[in-house]
Amino acid sequence: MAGYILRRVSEVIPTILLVLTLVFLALRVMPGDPAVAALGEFATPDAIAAFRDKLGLNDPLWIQYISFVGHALTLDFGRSMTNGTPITALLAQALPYTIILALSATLIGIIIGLPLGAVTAVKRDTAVDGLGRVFALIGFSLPDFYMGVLLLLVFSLQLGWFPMLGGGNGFVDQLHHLVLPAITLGLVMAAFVMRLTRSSLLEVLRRDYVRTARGKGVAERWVIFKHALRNALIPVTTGLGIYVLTTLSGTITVELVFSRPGLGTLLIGGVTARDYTLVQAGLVVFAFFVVGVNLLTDLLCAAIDPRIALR
Amino acid sequence: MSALLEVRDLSVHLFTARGVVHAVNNISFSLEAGRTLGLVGESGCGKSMAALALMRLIPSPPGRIVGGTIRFEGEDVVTMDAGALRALRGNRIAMIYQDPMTTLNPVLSVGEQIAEAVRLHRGDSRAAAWSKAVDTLRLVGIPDPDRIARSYPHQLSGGMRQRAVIAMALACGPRLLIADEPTTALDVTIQAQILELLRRLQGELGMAVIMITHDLGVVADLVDDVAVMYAGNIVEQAPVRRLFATPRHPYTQGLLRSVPSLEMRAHRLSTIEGVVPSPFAMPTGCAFHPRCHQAVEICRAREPVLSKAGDDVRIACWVAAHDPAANPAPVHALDAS
Amino acid sequence: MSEIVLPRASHAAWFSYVTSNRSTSAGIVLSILLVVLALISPWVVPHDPLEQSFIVANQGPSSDYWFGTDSFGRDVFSRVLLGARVSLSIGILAPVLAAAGGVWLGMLAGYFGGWTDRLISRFADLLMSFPSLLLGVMVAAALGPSFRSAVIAIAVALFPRFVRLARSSTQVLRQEPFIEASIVAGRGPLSIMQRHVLPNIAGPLVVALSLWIATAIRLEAALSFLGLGAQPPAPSWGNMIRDGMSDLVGDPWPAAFAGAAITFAVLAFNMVGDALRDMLDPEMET
Repeated sequence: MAGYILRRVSEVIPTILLVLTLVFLALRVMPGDPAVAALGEFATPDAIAAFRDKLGLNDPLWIQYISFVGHALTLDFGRSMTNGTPITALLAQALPYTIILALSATLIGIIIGLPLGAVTAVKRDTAVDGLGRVFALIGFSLPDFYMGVLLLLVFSLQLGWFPMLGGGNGFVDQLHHLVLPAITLGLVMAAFVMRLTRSSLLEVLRRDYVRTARGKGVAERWVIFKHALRNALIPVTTGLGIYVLTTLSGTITVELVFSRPGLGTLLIGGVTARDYTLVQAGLVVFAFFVVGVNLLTDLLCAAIDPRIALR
Repeated sequence: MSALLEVRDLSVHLFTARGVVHAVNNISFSLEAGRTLGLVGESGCGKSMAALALMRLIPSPPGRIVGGTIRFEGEDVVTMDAGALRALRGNRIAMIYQDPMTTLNPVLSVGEQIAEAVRLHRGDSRAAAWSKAVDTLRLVGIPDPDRIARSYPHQLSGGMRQRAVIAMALACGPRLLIADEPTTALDVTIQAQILELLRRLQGELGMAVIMITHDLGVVADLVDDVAVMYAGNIVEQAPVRRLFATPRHPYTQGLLRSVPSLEMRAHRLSTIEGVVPSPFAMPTGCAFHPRCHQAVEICRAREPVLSKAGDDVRIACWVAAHDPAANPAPVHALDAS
Repeated sequence: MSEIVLPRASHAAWFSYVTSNRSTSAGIVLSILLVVLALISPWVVPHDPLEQSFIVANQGPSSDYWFGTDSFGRDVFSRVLLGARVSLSIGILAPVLAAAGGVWLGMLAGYFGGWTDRLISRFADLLMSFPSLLLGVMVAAALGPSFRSAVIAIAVALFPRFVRLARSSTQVLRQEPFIEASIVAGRGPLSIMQRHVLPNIAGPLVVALSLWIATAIRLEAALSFLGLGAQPPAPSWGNMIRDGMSDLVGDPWPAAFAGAAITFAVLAFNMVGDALRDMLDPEMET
């Protein structure tokens, strides 16, 4: 087991390098000159050259690459091109909003989705199952930001129960601002989790060892909870990693809907303003998140299913 | 003395999209305490279904017990309530299955799966149940039972896994053990070991055993009585030596004839002509009649009933039951071993 | 992967299966309707989608303006119809492109194995470890927002899935005796892939395509909502919601109906995909 952990963690390094390379290349492909974008069309050639020098854009590509990777790994992202603020400060401000949103949505998704999935599997083909299927269908087809818009329309604009935009000040206010965005993303995630749990549990209930458990006289309740569910949760946990990531990327659009000052807003703002360094930083941070969540998921799976660690 | 197990007119039907399958068709047999019955037949003859029915483990979307009684120690399993059924399973009746890899739960340790049964039926504490589990593993011949108890199924070899499955079944000292093709999925050398283990345990613990198999060799060594099944029916039942020496039912005769022996001087292997009928297109009357050389008019018209045809022998055949002299000479002489 | 070969059922059998299942027929009808509408929309719009008129601005649904008007007085229904063009064309083009590239790479990986396989698989796995929207945002951000970037971005996000699909099918088929026979007969790998592998993965491929079209429509909507897709004034469902955000209080109609359109389109293609999958192989993984 320890060997597996070590192996898995060490795999992170080449992955991060690869990802950083891709981000680096992607941004070098960007059309237009970032200097012109930042300084405006009427900037003098000297100013442009000086700007490019400052950003290191005139250096050979491989030097830029090494500099970029080095800075990324030390989390030094330079300054925003729009207003010169150190990006790390901007990130520090924005990250909590995004992380809390992603975490709450995940929690809601699991709390609603898992039991719903288990119940609809056990009570398959009954009214409960039908309802669950409708819920799932809606969750898959409704885009998350649209659900956010609808919730906003009803609960904020019409009923006035929740604020319309922003992140809030103070703990309670922030919680208040968190509710609608978290429910938006949480419901979508719940639909995915529910469907996966359901199909996984149905599959496991057909297995021989479930029959063995019944054949030993184990009560049905325990057959499901102890014998079946634990096996059924294995694919769910794998899927969970993907859904958490989908939720994370969903924060980008939902933050826009609710004008929440998180990482997504920062990133999109940077794209709109052609703020090269900010976009770079945003992409790198998201990429780090992706790698991190994937790692955690794999480790979690290995903890649940003893067979994985031996591969 | 009433038998340990008495099955009367048991029928199990499978309700599938393509039609109803009479997986088990009105079978009756009984088993005395401490005796071994072999349930023999080809794939699909209904023997596994019959075994599962004994503890009401028939998978319930397609299958259902539609008739008959199963009296175990006087109580009818078919009409038992859920609580009584649970107290019965794994406790007074236990079952071992064909593929030990899929029989065991991959995410629970072997010891836990055994201890669970002990805790359930004996009310032992965790520690006591665990120690019983280890003891049972030792009983089935597993070396280093402490370590094995803490291991997971995928860490064990096929033979060890099956021993663990047997341990799980025996942990609570059942009066009846149902063994559904326990050696089919194992290597030949391991097969012999497991069978030897089962024989020893049966002797030591004095439990009744129902051995389900398609392998006549397994049966010859191990059982007291044999019931031969074909297409959901029991066609012949006799003590093992008698069956091998003078099989009466044409199907049994065909079966025994088709097992090659070293003394044979034949140029071709013997087979039973034709194929097993599809469960959705059963012949009328006796299910075997299309393949039977001795079939007469009544065989096509009416299903034969399993009836006594000499001491300890029962046959379901219009021809064989009435005229023992009509049967050919013995096909195999059993060794005196 | 279990069954790969397309069942040789008759066309009549397929037709009766398809029409017997209500949700399947609904899904297919809806998708076809959408595609047709999208194609003919410029000629069937009741009003000019770009025509602005402040007199009729911010109205709710009425007999004249079925979906109401937006803050510029443009007819929402016409804009939704026109938006279908953009959203559906990106939504269909991107997966097709992804399939075109991904299937070939996947076949190469599955056929040759070894380093080819390892390289391609690693690359595909890496791409897949990123959520599709994020990948799309990254590519679209890098290329600059436009119709073309959206297509490329979504294609990049979906491409590894086709690689995986083709790879696993090819790996299984590779073991089949008839492939060996072809090799012995002197066929080159590319020819074998084209003549033997492709037809056999057609089934799962079609299922995957319809499901990923649904995803692509969703992704396109998200990208244009973020301002990274087709740019205004050309309407796309996503950017209609984006524009609608600023006037949500007074005029929720553009956003509401554009969003509903997205939902229906995604639903329709999801239903078609699910039905196709049930028809071809209920146990297939996608």
